[in-house]
Amino acid sequence: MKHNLKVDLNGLELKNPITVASGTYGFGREYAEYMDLNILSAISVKGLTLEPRKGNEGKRIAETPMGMINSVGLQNPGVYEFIRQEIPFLRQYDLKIIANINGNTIDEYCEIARILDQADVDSIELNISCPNVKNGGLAFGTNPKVVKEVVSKVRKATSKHLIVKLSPNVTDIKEIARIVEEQGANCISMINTVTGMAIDIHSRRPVLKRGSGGLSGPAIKPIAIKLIHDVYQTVKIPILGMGGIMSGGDAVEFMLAGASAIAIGTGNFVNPTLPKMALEGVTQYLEDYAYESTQHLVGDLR
Amino acid sequence: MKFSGRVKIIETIQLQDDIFKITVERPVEVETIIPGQFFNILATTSGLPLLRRPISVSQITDETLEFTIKVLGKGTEWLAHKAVGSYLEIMGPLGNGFEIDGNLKKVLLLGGGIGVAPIKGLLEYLSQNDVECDSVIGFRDLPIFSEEFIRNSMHNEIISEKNSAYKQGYVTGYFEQLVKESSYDAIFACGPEAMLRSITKVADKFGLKLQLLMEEKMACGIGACLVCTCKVKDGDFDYKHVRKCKEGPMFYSNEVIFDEA
Repeated sequence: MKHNLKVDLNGLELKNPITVASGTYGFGREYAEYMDLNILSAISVKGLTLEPRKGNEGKRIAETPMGMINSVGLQNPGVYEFIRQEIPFLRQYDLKIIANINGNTIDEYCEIARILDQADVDSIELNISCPNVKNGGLAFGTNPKVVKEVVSKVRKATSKHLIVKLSPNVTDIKEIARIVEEQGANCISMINTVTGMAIDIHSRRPVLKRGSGGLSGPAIKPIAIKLIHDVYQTVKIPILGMGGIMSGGDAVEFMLAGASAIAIGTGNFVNPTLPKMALEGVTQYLEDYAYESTQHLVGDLR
Repeated sequence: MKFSGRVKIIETIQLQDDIFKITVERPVEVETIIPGQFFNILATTSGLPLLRRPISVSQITDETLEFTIKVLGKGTEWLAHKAVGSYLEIMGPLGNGFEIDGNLKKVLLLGGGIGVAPIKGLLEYLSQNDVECDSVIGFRDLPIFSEEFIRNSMHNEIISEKNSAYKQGYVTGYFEQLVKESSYDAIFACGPEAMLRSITKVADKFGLKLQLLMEEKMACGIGACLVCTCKVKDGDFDYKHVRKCKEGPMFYSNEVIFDEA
């Protein structure tokens, strides 16, 4: 049986449900040496800021049971360099480009969105949930009033497909999701990392120089599944699901919870060809359980 | 495509309580490996620990690769006890290894702790290519690879912090003495950050540029995730973060900005 793998993320057409998550895949160059990037339906690129950023100093990683805490701090070449150098590279491949954007202020988010509106990207992912930068990020994503303002203003700044990436570090994610939908986002991506901390008991200092960071990997998968399930019940716009996916089976689990497509993040570090394996796994599942298409799988919980 | 796949374990030798030397079949796909490069190795079949372990090569032959590992946690323990005849999942070779100029005549190699492993690989490579090598290796207690270092060095010092069978002290002191007496075409070093920091101070004093192989916790190992960084000079007044796994792990001592201890 030939399965229909196509996904429509409310205006962003994907050839299959497998994408890669921002911050885990750079701009694709490194992984292109290990896997044919044409397998991916989309890449969400490393988080972009208006100006280049050097990122956080000192130790940026702590490995924890079934996960890792990172504190990179949005090290990136800036939006202009991305447009000049990275878009042409990615356009060699048959995949959609999702530009993940980050600002210190609402105006800065809007300015990046306006710049990218004129660039050759397929979608903009509004990151209002990065835990690793001062001022921005998490502060934007956890306050419903601020979420409303930033999403509505960025929506006015661009006509591109707009994804808003949600933080799990909130009391009621459904409220945030509802606001994001009302303000005109096309899609929700979730979940960003869960804030976490690790301490070196010998030095009696946090492992990470900045103290805490964002936990990713299989450790957060059950959190992601639950929150995606909740948000799927709450909004009509599609969900791009992520959080510790390590296999095709995991990808299917996210889709059953309500994700229309999924992103592989930390799993890429463990297995550089995981997106290919996950796609094969999802396809096999459709075969085994007689699904005609991936869209029938989405939210199909008994 | 770069190599990522299975290699068979041919032999594992326990060198000390917590140090193991694992020899694997060299994958035919891997054409060139430079001393100082590393492989990112999966250290589990159960998924825990999650991340691969970046391990430098301690010997490169046409048929084999050798990894020398110190057991520090679950991952390295798993690697150390993986059965001979079974397979490891490895990616590599990764990063920039030592820069080895074809005109080298006389060089100095410095190693500290488990950092002597890649230095041993370099020493063997250089001595096969008729480069005259002096070496200083330092340990907390008992040494590893002492025979290999003695055999392949013109002049060798083995130092121990607490084992009185060996010369006492630190690599840095012996390094300073040697550079006062001799001149070298290149100086290579690998060891704990404290050692690299203190030998760099000495090198700066004498206007020398060392090739430092720097260790770090990594995730992807190929330059995508940005969690392993080295702070380096950017012009005269600024700094930038470069990736230890990609631009490194070899850095010149005059580029690196060390964290204050």
